[in-house]
Amino acid sequence: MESLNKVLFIFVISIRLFAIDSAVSDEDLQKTFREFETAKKTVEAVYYFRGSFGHLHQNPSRSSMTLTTIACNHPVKILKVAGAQKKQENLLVNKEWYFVRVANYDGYLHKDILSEKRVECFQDKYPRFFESLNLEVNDLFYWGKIHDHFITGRSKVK
Amino acid sequence: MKAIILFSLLFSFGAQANAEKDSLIDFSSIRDVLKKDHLESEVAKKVETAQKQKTLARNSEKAKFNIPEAPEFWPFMSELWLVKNATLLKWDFQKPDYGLSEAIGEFFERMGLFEKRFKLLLLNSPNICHAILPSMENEFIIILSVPFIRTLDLSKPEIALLVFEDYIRLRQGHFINFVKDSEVEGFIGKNFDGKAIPTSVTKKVLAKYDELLYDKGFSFQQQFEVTNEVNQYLKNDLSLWNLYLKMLEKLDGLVKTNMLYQNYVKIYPSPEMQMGWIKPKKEL
Repeated sequence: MESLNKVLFIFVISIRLFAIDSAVSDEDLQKTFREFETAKKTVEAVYYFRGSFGHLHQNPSRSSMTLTTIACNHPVKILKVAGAQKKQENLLVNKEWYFVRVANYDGYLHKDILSEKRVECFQDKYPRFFESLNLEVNDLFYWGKIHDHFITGRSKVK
Repeated sequence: MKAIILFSLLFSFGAQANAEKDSLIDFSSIRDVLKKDHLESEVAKKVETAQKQKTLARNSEKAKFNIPEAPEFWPFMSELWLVKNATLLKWDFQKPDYGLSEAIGEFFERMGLFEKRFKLLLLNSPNICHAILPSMENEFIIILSVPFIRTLDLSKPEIALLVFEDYIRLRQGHFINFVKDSEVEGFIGKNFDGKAIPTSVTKKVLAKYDELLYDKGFSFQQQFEVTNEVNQYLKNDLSLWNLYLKMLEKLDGLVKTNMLYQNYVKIYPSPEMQMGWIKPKKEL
């Protein structure tokens, strides 16, 4: 019985410690965002947006608030934050997001929807067909959103 | 004085005659010289280049009126349908990573279906429970309702099985065959140079998606063909076959007890019959 109590005690303590650790991590993340906002930034490269439409996010998260909407082949400046080498490994934040500048906005775009070279856009390849659809602003907004919500995967040859 | 005037008049007439003679130079006499200078071939080259540029510009202008071919048409229409139905399907919601892409990928590998790429979109609505929309070759778009998964308490392998069933349905061509009629077939890949692109065909395609996924669903015959093929795959792995049977039992229970999912049998008829089709026949 005593040993069971000990195990339970250790379990509870470890859960609490884990909770504190997670809280610190979240706080750290928030601190990182604040640092990124105020730190000196340099443009490291220019990439191009390769989805049909997309959203520039305020934070490195698919559900984060939208700062602006961009269309295919829109040039995007990849920013490097001074003194953030560890937090921005290979220019990526959380290993998935680029910290970028689009017009006057600094925000985040997922690495999967950026290309180093210009891409062939559907709306440029089939302009008259695309125009004939008469898409509304609402449609363009959701078209940008859908790429944030798609979870991609594939079966691989092993 | 008279002599001077006469002389100047004669001189001016002579100059005029010389000028006329100059303007009528016979170039044929210097043709050989020109040929040696390659001026004629240079002119021919320039004319050819100008002609090529003109043709390219014309073709590029004509290409603007192209309708995408099937490999680009179907993924585009599927995405457009999802965009147009965003408010009904409620896919714009925050959700955790359920680890479904790995489970689905592994299931396809287990079935020996390699290099199949997919996009998974989770819905926060019971309006459509699950489906696969056509996309490019070796790629498909999965839509899956989170309330439906929660109500049935489906495990990851069960979800992967459902997706696999939808994949077989797509591969057998039931989806595209329903949406594509002769008008749509004639529209795909066509060029409307100089004409207005008819909007009626894309509207019709979207309406067919609606009809199939919300209302009409698949026929008994189609469902029988799908179940049979799935059954053939799963017979190689009895644990998966049992899981499929269990999942069908769960679905059968759901459609018979939950009012919210009574429409399910209209789309995918019917879990009870599917169980009957795959269960071994008892010998007399």
